[in-house]
Amino acid sequence: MLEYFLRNQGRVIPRAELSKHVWNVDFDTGTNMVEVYVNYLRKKIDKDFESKLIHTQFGMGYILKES
Amino acid sequence: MQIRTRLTLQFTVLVSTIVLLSFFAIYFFTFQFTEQDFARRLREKAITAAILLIKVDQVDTTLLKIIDRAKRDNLYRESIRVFDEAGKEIYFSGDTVKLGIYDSLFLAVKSEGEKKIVHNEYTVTGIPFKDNGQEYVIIASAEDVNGYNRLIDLRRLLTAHFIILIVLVSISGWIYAGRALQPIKRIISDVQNISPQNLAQRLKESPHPDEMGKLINIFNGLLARIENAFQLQKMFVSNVSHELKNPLTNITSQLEVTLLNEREKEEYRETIESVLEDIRSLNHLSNSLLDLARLTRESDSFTMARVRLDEILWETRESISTIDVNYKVEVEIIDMPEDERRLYVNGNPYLLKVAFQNIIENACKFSEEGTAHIKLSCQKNSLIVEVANNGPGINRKDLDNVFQPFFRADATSKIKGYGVGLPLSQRIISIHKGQIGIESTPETGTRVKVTLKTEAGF
Repeated sequence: MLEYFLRNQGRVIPRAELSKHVWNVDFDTGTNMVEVYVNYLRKKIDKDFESKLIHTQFGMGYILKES
Repeated sequence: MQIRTRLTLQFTVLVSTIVLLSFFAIYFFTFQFTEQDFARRLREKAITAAILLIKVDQVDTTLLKIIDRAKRDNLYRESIRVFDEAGKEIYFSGDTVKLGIYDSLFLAVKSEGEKKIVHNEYTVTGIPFKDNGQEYVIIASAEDVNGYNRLIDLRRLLTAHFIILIVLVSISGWIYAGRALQPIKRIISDVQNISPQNLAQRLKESPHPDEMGKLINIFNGLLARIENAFQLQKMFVSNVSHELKNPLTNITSQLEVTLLNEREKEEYRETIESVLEDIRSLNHLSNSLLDLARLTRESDSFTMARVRLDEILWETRESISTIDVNYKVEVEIIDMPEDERRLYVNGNPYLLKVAFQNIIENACKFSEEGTAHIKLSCQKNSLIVEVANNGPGINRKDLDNVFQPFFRADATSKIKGYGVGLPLSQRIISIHKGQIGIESTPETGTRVKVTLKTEAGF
């Protein structure tokens, strides 16, 4: 997931795209799976740092950028 | 010593001790009673004689002797002597034998009162007697021949009784012990007759629900398990050889046919690819068999580590998709925990992958469209993985056997497989102290449910 974010820095990635490319899931699981995994990643790379890298774009998806 | 002999001996010793004690008591009390009774009679006689002689004026020594002799109930060797105050013998009747103890007894009676002693075979009694201020001492002695004979009779009777009783007790004890041990003897001979060739034989059920009945039931249960294991092993060996032989025959014949003529490059390629596929499947089978054997033999020698179960499932999903392009695995994670640590289990990653791969591959293989649905849900202390498919289902009879090595339901004969996957998975899950269960609805699908404990503390 981190790799995919890095390859697409600065671009808003929809949830469906994330699940398609990271887990090869091309159907809606109907669960909060993507959110939870993004959350896990945030804990690792954002939690203990001042500047946050992963941002939620409401209704659209996630974006990795330096703010 | 055999139990029968020991039981008989113990029983006999016990009974004879009790009997001996009671016989001794009987003899002792009879002995005492006989002695006291005799002493009483002797005393009464002595007193009667004294009264007649001293108190009744009309009776003098001569008359008393006559009366004495006329009495019919004289004791054996009875003698009655009356002494006056000075120790002079004033009357004597009965046996003439003089005992050498009169003087000492006379003195003892005068100073201490009435006295009874046993001198040799004689019972001697000394009684002080007073009349008109005069003091006398009467000494009577006699032998209790009757009582003595009665005691000897009693002794003989009791001894004879004792011997007869011991013989009877030993015999009946022997018979009883034999009868009580009869079922054991039967079990011994029955069990001796059972060999690996006739494991189907069972011990005859006991009609009584006693210890023997329980023992027989336990033996039968044991035999059933042994028979089962034997059959399984036989089946295993014949299945393995069969399953190994098929692909080998296949490979051999393909190669032979190809070698018959000169072929096009493309044909060689096809043959090699086909052979390679057979070899891969052989390889897969032998790996599974090795795993199964290893797991059965050395179940606790695997290194355990922290394993993230969702990662295992994702990885398994990846490798499943390489087996067959038609296989689709849908993963659904329910109630994903905020805390990643709750996704960890203590386990061996290689084994867990093998376990889930077998289950998921089966689900794909037996489903209509090659799709399996995986649902991972997080409970408080455990993780539950459910693998379901939309297949033809498994009927109830076969469902009990799917975890038996090499079992293949009749309905699966058209689909490739060896019947080692699910048994292997079950073995792995049980090594991880987890549970595996299967339920199936015909025409709808099958669901395998695996429960694994999360790492301690979470």
